[in-house]
Amino acid sequence: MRVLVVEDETRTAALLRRGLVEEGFAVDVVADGLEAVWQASEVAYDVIVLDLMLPGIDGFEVCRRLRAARRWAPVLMLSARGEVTDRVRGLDVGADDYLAKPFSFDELSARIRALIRRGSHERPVVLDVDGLRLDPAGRTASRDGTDLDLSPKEFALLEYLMRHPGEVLSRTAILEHVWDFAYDGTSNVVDQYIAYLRRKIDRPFGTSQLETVRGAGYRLRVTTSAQPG
Amino acid sequence: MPLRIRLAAVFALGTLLVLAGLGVLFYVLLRTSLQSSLDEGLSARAEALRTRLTGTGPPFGRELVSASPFTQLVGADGRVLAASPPSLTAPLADSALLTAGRAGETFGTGLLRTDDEEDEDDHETEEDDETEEGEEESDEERVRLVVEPVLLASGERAVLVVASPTDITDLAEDRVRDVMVLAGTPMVLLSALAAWVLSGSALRPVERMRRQAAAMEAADIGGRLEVPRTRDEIAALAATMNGLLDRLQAARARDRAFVADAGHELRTPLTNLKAELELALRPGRSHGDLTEAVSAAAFETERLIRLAEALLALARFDADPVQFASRETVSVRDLLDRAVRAATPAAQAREARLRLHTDGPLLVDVDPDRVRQAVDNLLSNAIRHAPPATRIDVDADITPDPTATADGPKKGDEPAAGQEGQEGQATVRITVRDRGPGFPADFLPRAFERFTRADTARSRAQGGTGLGLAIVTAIATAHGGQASAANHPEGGAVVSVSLRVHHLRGET
Repeated sequence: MRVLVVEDETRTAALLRRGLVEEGFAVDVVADGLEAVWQASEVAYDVIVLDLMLPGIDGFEVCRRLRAARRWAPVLMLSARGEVTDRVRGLDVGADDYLAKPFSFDELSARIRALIRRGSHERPVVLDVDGLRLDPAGRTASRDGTDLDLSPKEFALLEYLMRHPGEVLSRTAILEHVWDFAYDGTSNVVDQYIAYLRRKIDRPFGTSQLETVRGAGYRLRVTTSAQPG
Repeated sequence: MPLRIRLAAVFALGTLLVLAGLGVLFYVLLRTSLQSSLDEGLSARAEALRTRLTGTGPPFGRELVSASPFTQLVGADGRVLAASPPSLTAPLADSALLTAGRAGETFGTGLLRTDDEEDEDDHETEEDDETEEGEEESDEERVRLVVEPVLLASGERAVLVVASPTDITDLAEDRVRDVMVLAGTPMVLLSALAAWVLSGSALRPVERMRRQAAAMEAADIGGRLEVPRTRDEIAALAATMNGLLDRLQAARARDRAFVADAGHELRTPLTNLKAELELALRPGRSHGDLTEAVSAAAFETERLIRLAEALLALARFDADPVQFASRETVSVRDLLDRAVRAATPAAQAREARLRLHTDGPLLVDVDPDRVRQAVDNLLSNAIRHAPPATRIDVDADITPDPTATADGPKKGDEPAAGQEGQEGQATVRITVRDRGPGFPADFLPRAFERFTRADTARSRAQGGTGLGLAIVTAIATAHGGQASAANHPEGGAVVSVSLRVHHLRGET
């Protein structure tokens, strides 16, 4: 398994390399943010260990650029800043894990192994289906640049639909994923919210992306063959 | 007591005083004018009577009866010669007034008594009257009198007394008093109410500001007071308070940034130390591996110590910048000499040479430990950036204070002896110049900020704390001076520290 270590503190970088090599990883070290973006675009790393404080562009920006370039290698952020806001920001720009310095080497390698298990499949930070965009972290949604004003439930419903573009989702499945046990209504509520959602995402734009599949449920239609991210 | 109640009370009291003052003034003026018109009437009547009476003899009745009522003619012996109405026998004026009246026209007051017969009747009914008619129970009535001398035909110097009841003027005065009291009371109440309402509306923004300030958490001063749109003192107060909050917030932000930076700087060597020790603990380490790990751990520990010392120095400076430096008289030349000698091994390790030049011993009062610390920081910076086989120049010179020399009488006498010959306030400047790459241009303005480095990774790897120049600045500031950084035109960084000192004449 190949690991990219992005760390500008030379002694820390050397220690990381030594420790990870001993654990059997193939380790590359870069000390600069731009170099890290380039390197990660060239080589299919299994995990990227990314320090936040870097010369040039910082770790947040490195992560954002990697995700924008559709590089899905799991990113473990490493920072001497333990602030909650830093951790939240790191995870929201697309990092998969966050470890504060000083860290335990055993924990670091365990987390790296866990990230490798999960794999490098596509995990966009901002969902995009045919011009319909939804940012779960920023809690914003838009179509073709026009902001949509959605209630929390409508937002959750749209997010679930957008995470399964082109799939037919049954009322029961939607009810299971968007509503909790505290709701003991019938599946009528799904139809109702689908209607609300159409009124906001389709009707003002003259589209009909949210389709009813008779007898099966609902589907968010995808026209482009390749699913955008 | 709330301001509103106080203001309302003060307003009510003020209005009351003003109204009372005006009322009294008006009342007095009214009284005076009523009295003077009364007196004029009396005087005219008396004058007319006197003209008719002069040179006449008894019985006088015709003249007097035809005259207005309440008139008496009193003889020289004080006897009432005639009266109108005839029943008016008791003298109207007292003897003092009569005496004064003999000399000329005199005004006065007297009591009008009804005659004895009626008096008895009155006396009988007095008890009933008292309950029914209160004020009129008295037989006596206050009157205004004028007394004038009259020369009778008999040659007797008699006195004419003319009286006029004052009940009409009294009534007018009473009415005025009543009106003033009746109208004054609501005006006082009205002014109190107006003060209450006005002060309430004026103080509303104050109360709102108080609530906003109270709602502000000590931990979060991000909020601001709402500035009223009135452009008055209260708006100015709100603006001032907001300015204060801005400054506090900026100071807090600086503190937070410093703590965050300090945390970051402390965690980096700690991370390395921890990783180093963890890796060393893994099984199968040779003796050589372990030795290497221990020396690396020692290096990181050294770094932590340096960082802790630097942080402590800055914390002490922040706590009390004035007490930071305790001065004593030392020779800057000796101080620099010791510093250069101590730094020489480090310089030799990088094949750099240190050269010291000072203008004389420079006996000045400074904090030797602090100045040494500043010089050490400058030297270690220079050594870190000096290319091999280059020279590092350390210079010190002194500039007498222009104001101090202007006061001194010998300014022009020994210009050549100059810097060494004079005592007094002066500025010592210590400059360290290396032949390294110098400061990046964009870094120069931030060179003295805490935790800034020209080249973060490299400098930290070489043991820089990022606080060296910040400490130098703090020391210079504590000595009333400053630190500055520049790039030498011929290459290399030049960092200098100015210290305000008292210079003593020293043996050369």
